[in-house]
Amino acid sequence: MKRGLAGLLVTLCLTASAQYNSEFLNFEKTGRSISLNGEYELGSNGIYNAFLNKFIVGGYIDQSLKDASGNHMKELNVLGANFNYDVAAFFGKNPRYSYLVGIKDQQIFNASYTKDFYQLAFYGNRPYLDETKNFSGSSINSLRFQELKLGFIWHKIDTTAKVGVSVSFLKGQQLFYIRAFEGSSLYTNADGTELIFNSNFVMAESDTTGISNPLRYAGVGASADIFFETPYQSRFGKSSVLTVNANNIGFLHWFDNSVQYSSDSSFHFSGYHVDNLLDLQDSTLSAINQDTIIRNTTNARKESFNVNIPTNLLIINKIIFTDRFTLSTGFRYLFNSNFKPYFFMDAEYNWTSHFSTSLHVGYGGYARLGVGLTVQYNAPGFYIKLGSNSLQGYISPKNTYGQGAFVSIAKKFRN
Amino acid sequence: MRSLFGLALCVLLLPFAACKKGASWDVDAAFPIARSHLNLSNFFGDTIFKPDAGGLLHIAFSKDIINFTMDSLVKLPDTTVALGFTAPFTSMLSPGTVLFSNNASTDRELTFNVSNGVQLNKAIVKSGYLKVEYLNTYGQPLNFNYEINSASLWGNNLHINQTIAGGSVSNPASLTRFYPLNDYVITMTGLTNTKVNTLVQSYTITTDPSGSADQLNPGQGLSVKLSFSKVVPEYVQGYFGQQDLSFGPDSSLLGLLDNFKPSNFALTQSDINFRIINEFGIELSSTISDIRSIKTSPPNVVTLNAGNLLQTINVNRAGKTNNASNPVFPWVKQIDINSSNSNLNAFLQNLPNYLGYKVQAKLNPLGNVSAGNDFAYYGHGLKVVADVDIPFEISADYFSLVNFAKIDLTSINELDNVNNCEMILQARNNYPFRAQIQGYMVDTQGQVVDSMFTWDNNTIQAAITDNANNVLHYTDTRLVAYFNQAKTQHLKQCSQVKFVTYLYLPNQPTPIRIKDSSYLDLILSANVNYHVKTK
Repeated sequence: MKRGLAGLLVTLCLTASAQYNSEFLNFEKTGRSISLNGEYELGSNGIYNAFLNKFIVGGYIDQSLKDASGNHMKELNVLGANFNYDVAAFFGKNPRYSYLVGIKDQQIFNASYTKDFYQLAFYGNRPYLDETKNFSGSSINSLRFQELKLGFIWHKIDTTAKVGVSVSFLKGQQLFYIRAFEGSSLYTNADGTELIFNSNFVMAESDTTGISNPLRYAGVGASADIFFETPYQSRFGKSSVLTVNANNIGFLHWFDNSVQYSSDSSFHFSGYHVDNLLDLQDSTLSAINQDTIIRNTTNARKESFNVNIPTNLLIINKIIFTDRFTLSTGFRYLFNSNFKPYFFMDAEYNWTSHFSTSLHVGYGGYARLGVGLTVQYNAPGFYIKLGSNSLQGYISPKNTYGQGAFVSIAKKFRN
Repeated sequence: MRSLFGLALCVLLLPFAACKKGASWDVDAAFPIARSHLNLSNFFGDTIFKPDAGGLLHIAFSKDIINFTMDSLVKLPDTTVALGFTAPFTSMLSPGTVLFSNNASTDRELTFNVSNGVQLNKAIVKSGYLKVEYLNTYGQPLNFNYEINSASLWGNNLHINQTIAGGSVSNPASLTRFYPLNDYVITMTGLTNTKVNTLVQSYTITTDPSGSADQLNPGQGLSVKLSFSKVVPEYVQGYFGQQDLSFGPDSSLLGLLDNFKPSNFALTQSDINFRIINEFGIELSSTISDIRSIKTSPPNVVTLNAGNLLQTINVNRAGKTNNASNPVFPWVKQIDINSSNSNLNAFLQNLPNYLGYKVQAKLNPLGNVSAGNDFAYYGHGLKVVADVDIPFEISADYFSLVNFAKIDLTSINELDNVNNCEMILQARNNYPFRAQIQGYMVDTQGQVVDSMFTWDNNTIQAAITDNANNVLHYTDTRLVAYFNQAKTQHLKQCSQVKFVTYLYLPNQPTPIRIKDSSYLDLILSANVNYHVKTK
């Protein structure tokens, strides 16, 4: 274990560019190529990895796990997960620019939750009798879509600057959105015989027919990616490179069978009133029906609507100190989500002309502190990158927030 | 290269592939299930409780002992008559020639054979029809012109004019027609207006004007079969005779408080009002006897002893209101049997399942004093009704009640995830009795698989009373039924719950009085430790 940690510390000095859901970022390494890229990141600033891992690998969440997260939780917390994979190809013969074509599957999940919501969800309401538990600000936004991407990268604007643009046709597969506004709460009276649910929320759900079929169309949309990279001279190092990347700038239109709900009411439930002791089945149990409750408590309507997809903004300033060592600082933000501003630093060390490793340190995002490691092998014919920006989630899951991994494998084309 | 791709995919997708295992955790939930404001009728499942002016509840219900209607008293039988004409000799007939008329024949009158000696002079038909079957053996079409002179509707006699195609002896032309008799007023006094059960008819048979001249041979002619079928009268009038009617000995299901089993049960007072409702326009003399309180389990019979109160009861005839929608003004005779003039308390304390009886009646005991104006309307008749009234002022050591509630939990899969559970019953009792309850889980085979409450925690305490058992203040009780996993699984086998309740009365034998304002409020809630699983 000590040797492993030592190795990790050594590689802390090394750097690589992580995936960040962009095909353009790797072009510097791969050039014209066909690549398979995949990435997942999962984190919360209120729930430890050991807790989240139970939702990934399965298992029982015991009292100590619940307490560990619950005791350090803020009043309002975030939880998010991104999972995407794609096949992309840069091709062309013009020495100044290359074309891009690719297909990608993206799943984006982000949620906000109050500490009260967490307590109700994982402890139940009985420990909180005669208390009002607040849901205000809690939300879930879960999105899955596929895209067909067409674009180009202009890699010889002057000598070394690059500009990349792509547009995508989006096929919406699934959306679930709910947001609780101010005043949403649940009160349980002192002996558990009365519940008062103040509901002030909106909810949207795409057509749930055949929801697991990746070929189904529940909506369509469009998006664009923009990439800009330019070298410049700075006071530090041999040279510097500024990279700005924005992707997922777009929207999805969900079709008519999508459902929207809204509720701004107070529901007082003190048990079903039984008029006939001899016929409880009809008078009581039939009334406890999920569909009936939802229908009676929300203003459900089927209609089409548009949603903006979370846009990923990435700014990286790279300082090349030597042929072997490069230090990058960066900023990442996801618009239309609850992603916190994420500041990071990558230190990359080239061990050989082909092999490099990098260390990543960042703070923000869905989780808090993130420490990562990336390994790259850049051969003349292929390129491979494997890494994580949140290794802490694997090393000490009980005490850390966030986890993730990414991989890129590219077969380079001969020029 | 290919293996590298595979390795990369495995690394990336491993966490998500494992997602299918699912997370799980336990939560403690507290929630209400049901609440009820119960009065006595909820216990017994009956709506037979009615308060008096002082608020004291009474068990009050009415039971029809006999309901004898007109269709049982007077029946118009299906009647068939044959008419027609057969040529005795050869003749040449031209179209439009009268072949036969019954003006002078003996079949002008048609008499019905009405049972029980009933002599009708008038009837109004509610439903029924006249079926006419024709057979023409003459070679040319014949015309049958028929009229029931004593049957009229809105002033018009029942009239039939039917042409029957030509046929032959070997191959007669046949035809069948149906004519409704609904709403016809039929005078049944014959040609002289002095007869009974007799109507008047006339008919002629002619060669049809559309036919040709032809020879009528011996044996040829028209035969007609008239059938009065399924005739139901709306009204009948006449002399209904001195019939002797007898009903029973028989018994009538009471279905009263079947689930009610008392110990040392005693009534303070009780009352049965027998009502004899005569809607017939007939005098009659009636006797009600053999009134028995029949309990089947354990078997016991108590005969009502009311002296001569129910013997030889003269009942006058009903009157007419001249209102078609409610044509009868009934004559009602009431005989009150109570705990003072009979052994009614003992009779009812037997808690009968069935009421045994025998009723005898003689119609027109003084003969035809109405001069043939006895009448009866459809749907009206002779009824004997027992109005039972028992003030809920009773004494007993206890009552036991057995109720079955259909609560089919066999398909509630969520019960599998219940680690343990407390079902809490909070009761506010305003009744003077304490209630010891137990719920037995009964599976689909009818077998008891478990019970809900423990015997040391299953009693709802009685309200606070004075020495006369008057309620002074309600009492609150909290009962808890514990369900561990094994017991929860028994709950999942449950298709119904058998509730057995013992109601213990205080200060016995001082009677308790159950008032309309008495109540039992129940709130059922649950504390559930539930194992949540994600898919």
